[in-house]
Amino acid sequence: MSLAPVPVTAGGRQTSSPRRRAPGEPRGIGYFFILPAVLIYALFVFAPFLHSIYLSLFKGNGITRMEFVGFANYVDIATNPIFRSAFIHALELVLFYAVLPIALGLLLASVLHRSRIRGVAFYRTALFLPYVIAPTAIAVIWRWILAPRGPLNSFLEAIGLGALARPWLGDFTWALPSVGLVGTWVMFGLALALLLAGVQKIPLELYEAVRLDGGGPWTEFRAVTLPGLRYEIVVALVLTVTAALRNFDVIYVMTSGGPGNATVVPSYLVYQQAFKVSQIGAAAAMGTVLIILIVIANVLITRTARSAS
Amino acid sequence: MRHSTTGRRGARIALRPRTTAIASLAAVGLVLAACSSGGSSTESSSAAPESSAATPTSEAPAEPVELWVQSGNGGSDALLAGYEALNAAFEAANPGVTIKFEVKSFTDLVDTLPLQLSGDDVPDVTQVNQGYGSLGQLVGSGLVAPLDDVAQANDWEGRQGAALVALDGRFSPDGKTMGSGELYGMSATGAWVGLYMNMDIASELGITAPPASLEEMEAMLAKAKEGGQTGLMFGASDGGEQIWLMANLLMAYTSPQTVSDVINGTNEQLPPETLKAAETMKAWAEAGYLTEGWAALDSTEVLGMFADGEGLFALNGSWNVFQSDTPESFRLVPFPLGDASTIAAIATGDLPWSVPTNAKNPDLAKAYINFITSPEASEIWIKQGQVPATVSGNEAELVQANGLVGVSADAVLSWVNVMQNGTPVGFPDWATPTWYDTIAQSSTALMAGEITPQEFVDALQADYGAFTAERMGS
Repeated sequence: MSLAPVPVTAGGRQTSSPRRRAPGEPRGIGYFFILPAVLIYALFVFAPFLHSIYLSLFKGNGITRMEFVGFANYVDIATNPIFRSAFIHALELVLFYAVLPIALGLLLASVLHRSRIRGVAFYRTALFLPYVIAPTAIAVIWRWILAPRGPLNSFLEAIGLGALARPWLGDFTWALPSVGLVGTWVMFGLALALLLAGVQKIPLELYEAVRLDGGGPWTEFRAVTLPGLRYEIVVALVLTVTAALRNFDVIYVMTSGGPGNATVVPSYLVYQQAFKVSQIGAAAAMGTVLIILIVIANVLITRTARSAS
Repeated sequence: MRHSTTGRRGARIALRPRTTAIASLAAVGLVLAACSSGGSSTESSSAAPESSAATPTSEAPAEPVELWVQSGNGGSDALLAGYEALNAAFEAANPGVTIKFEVKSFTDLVDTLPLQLSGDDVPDVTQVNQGYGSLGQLVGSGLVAPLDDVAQANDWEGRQGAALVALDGRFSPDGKTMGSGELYGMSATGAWVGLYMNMDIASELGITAPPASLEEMEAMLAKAKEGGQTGLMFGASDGGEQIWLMANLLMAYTSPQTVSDVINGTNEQLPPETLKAAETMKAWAEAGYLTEGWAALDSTEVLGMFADGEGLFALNGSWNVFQSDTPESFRLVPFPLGDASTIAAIATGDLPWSVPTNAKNPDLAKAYINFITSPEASEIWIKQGQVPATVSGNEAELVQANGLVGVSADAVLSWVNVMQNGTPVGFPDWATPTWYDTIAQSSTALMAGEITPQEFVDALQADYGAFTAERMGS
C-alpha cells in the first residue's frame, strides 16, 4: 500500500515556456536527465500503486489464490459502518490538523508581525519543535499526559476542576478530539513557521497604504496579510491536510482506534485489514480510496488558491 | 494499545530473578541428554531422525548445520532464558548443530509470518499463533508441515494430553476445521487466564478464600465496593480482558465444552446465554466494580496497579505472574464457574512451534520441538518460573524445590489441576480472524453504555456467523 504523499506543485506558475526552442540544447535531452528519477518513481511508487488497485478487485489473504470480486471491496467501504466512520473521523481530524493550526498560525503571525517581540527566533524554534519529534514519541508522551491518572487529570483535580477529569482516551466523546488536539499541537509550529516567513516578505508600504485609506487592523489582515500569504497557506494546507488524512502512527500508539471504534481512521484500517485479518483486497481498496481522497483534497486546495489570485 | 491480536502477551510486571537457573544450565543440559537417550531406541527407522536428535549422535554430522529457530516471545525475558538454556542443551546433544535463535515481538511475528513463510528463505522452526486467522491460514495455504510422525513416535499426546495437543495444533489440512485433524504445532509452555486475588484486601473485607462460584464472586465484588476498594482491576484499551471476561462468564452460564464448541465453530449460532454474559459485563461496569478509567487503561497497566496493592481481583494471564514483596498474599485461581466442581479455564499452550513447509532442516526442526516439549525440559521451565505445557506429575515437588510461592506457584499448580482434572478452553478470538477486534470494541461500547447487550450480541453474531458459515460452506 503506497500511502506516500502526492507531490503537488504549489502555485500556478507557468510551466510551458513561450519560446519554441531552448537555446543551445535540443529539448529531448531533458527527458534523459529525469529518467533515473522517473524510473525510481515508477518502480517504487507508481507500480505498487497500480498493483494495489489491481489487488483491490480481489478477495483473499494474498497467499492462496485470490477470488475476483470486482468492486465489492469498494461497495463495502461505502456500506460498512466501521469503514465509513473511519473516513468521517479522518475528515474530523482535518479540522484539528489543518484548520485549527492554520487559523491560530495566521492570528499569531499577524500579531508577531505588527509588534516586534524580543527573541522571536526562540519562540519560533520552540513552537516548531513538535513537528520535528517523531510522531510515535509524541503519541507516547500524550498518551501519558492524558492517562486516567496522568498529569492532565491531576492538574485538573489540583485546581478544583476534578469534575472535568476523565479517561480522555477511553471516552467515546473525547477520544477523537484528544487525538486531534495532539495534531493541532504538532502542526501549529509548522503553520506558524511557514506563515511567519511569508508575512515578513510582505512590503510594509502595503500596510501603510491601508492605514492611509483609513483601514483598521481587520482590513489590514483581510486586504494585505491574507492575500500576501496565499502560497504559504496553500503549502501549509497541503502538508497538514495530507497528514490528517493519512494519520496512522499517532492513532496506532494512542488509541488503536478505540474505545470501540471511536478513533478508527482509514490508514489504521489498511494496516488492520492487511496484517491483522489478512484481507489484502479490502486493505488495497481502502488505501486506494484514501489516496484518491488525498489527491482530490490537494487539487482542490491548489485550484482554490489559483482561482483566488 | 492493542499490540497483540490475542491480547495474551504483554510486558511482564517484574521478572523472576534468574540466579538459580543460570548456575545449573550446563548441568541440566547434560542430564537432559542422558535422560532422553534411553527411551527411543525401539522406534522404527522412519522415526529415526526424530528420536536420534535428543540423543548424542555417534557419528557427528559431516558439515556443521545451522538450525534457524524463530520465536515470538520478545519481551518475555524469563521465557527466553528458558529457551536459551534448552538451546544450549540441544546443541550439546547434537554436535555440529548451531542454533540461530531469532526473537521477534508477538505482533511482529504474527503480522509477518504468512509473507515470510511463503518465501524460500524461511526459519527451520517457528512459533505461530493458534486460531483460524493465524495457524489456520498457514495450514490452509500449505505453509506449515504436519508433525504427526514425530508426535506419534514420541507420544506427544501422552506428554500434554490429547485435549491440549488438539487445542494448540490440530487442523484439517485445508485449515477449515480447528481442534481435530493433523498436528501442525506443539507448545512448550502453558498460558492460562485466571483470577488474581489480593488476600490482604480480602481479609480486610472479611473474605477468607477465593470464590468457588460466580455468585460468590459477585458478592465479593459488592463487598469490595462497600469497603471502598476496587473489585476488579480491569483495563480494556488493548482488548484482551473483556474477551476473557466474556468467555469466562459464558463458561459459567453454559459449560466449558459449549465455549470450546463456539471457538471451534461447530455451530453458526452463538448460545443464547451470550446475552446474559453481556448483561453481567454491563452490570459490573455500571455498579462501579471496575478500575476507574478502565476504558483508557491496558491490561499491563492495571496488573501493575494490582501488584502495587490496589484492588481485590484482577483478570489476567499466568504468563504475567509478577514478583511482589509479599508474594504469599496474592493468589492466582481459575475464574469461578457455575460451581466448585467445574474446573476449567482459558488454558492453552503458549505460541506453538511449527515447521514451515520450505524449511531446510525439517527433521532436525522436529527433533528440536520434541526436545523442548520433553518432560525433562519441564524442569528448566519451572526453574524459570514458567508453566510447562507438558505435565508429568512431579510439578508440586519442582515448584517447592525452586522456591516458587504465591501466584508463581499457583500458575504452575492450577495449570496442572486444569490439565489433569478439568477442561482446557481456547482463546475466544481464535474463532474468527476479526473476532478479537469485534469483541474488544463492542464490549468497550457495551460497558461504557454506548450500546445495549442485544446490540453487543448482534455484533458478535454477525461477525461469527458470517465467518463460520463461509468456512463450513466452502
